[in-house]
Amino acid sequence: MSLYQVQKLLRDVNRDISNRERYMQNPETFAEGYDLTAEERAAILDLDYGALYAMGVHALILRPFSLLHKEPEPRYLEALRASRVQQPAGV
Amino acid sequence: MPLVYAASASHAPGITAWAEGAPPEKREKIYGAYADLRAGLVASQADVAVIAAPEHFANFFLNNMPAFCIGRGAHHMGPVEPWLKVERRAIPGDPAFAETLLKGCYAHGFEPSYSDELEVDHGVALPVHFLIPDGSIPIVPVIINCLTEPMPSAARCFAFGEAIAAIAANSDRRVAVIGTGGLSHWPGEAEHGTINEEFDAAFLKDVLANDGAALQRYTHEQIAESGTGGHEVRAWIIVAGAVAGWKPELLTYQPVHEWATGCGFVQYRQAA
Repeated sequence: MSLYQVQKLLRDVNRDISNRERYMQNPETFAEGYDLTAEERAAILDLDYGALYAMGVHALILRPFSLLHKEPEPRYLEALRASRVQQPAGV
Repeated sequence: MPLVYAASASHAPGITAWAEGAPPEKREKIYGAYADLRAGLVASQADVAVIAAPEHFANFFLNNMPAFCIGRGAHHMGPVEPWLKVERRAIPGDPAFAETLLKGCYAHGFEPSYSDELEVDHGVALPVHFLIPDGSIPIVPVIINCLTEPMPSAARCFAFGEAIAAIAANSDRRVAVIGTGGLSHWPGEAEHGTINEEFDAAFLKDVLANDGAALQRYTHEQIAESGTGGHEVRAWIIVAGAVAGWKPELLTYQPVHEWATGCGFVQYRQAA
């Protein structure tokens, strides 16, 4: 698990224009600069907001990242809520 | 000299970014509250405004997350959000008073972080857009970690406010203290859109009674009932700590579901 690296990548894209441009040009290459598991890398590259939320990405990193991809609010919230339903009971 | 002005206000980004999304009667009450706050601030003849506002990952991240950070720059660029519909500009800072505040904190049992190059997001830039649109009063931002655990306790926030008031009283400056954030909201979370009106009413009751003892008793878990964004009420508790004996006045409270935030506005009158 490297939640820190996942959040670092997303926040770097959110807050730094040169990082954002490099990411937008080639997300796969950009992601190589971070120590990610295969699952984490896939969640980022697939823009799987539900999976990222379930990993514990802070909403104030995740929602701005999704806005960069013009993700409409209803669909974003639906993804988050679906991921929560899939969590094992008690988690 | 003693503080000359104090207020607490919500800074929901929708107030400017999605203004048309809210019911007009709620929106106008909120704009009216900001106009009243501006009138009070101008009338106080404050020469510096300390703005206590929460971090939103604009300046800090998990590689370095201070509990409190004082902005010592000559100006503060912001807002960082291009979608806020607030013009990005260099908001004048006050390095001299920031230095006074910083050193005073060290003398009063606090060791905040400091930065000569803060950028500000909607937490500072939105209130300043309404309160100091002409940049005529320089600001000293105090950024609070209301974002990731552990966060400063209610009691420490209250004491931080007491320290600000004591430091201002020992200076030759006319200091305003303005807290921004809250009330209940869950920004970007699965619960986004939820407003805990019950919490907001109880918290406002304690604020309006200026009941410092009650405000200091709030636990992290109690504050969490107002949402991940509700942790920002720590900014309000800092202000309350600075104004013992002052008389708070509620300008308006509006639960605005379209902005996903319980929006509250309180201005304090000085003790006679």
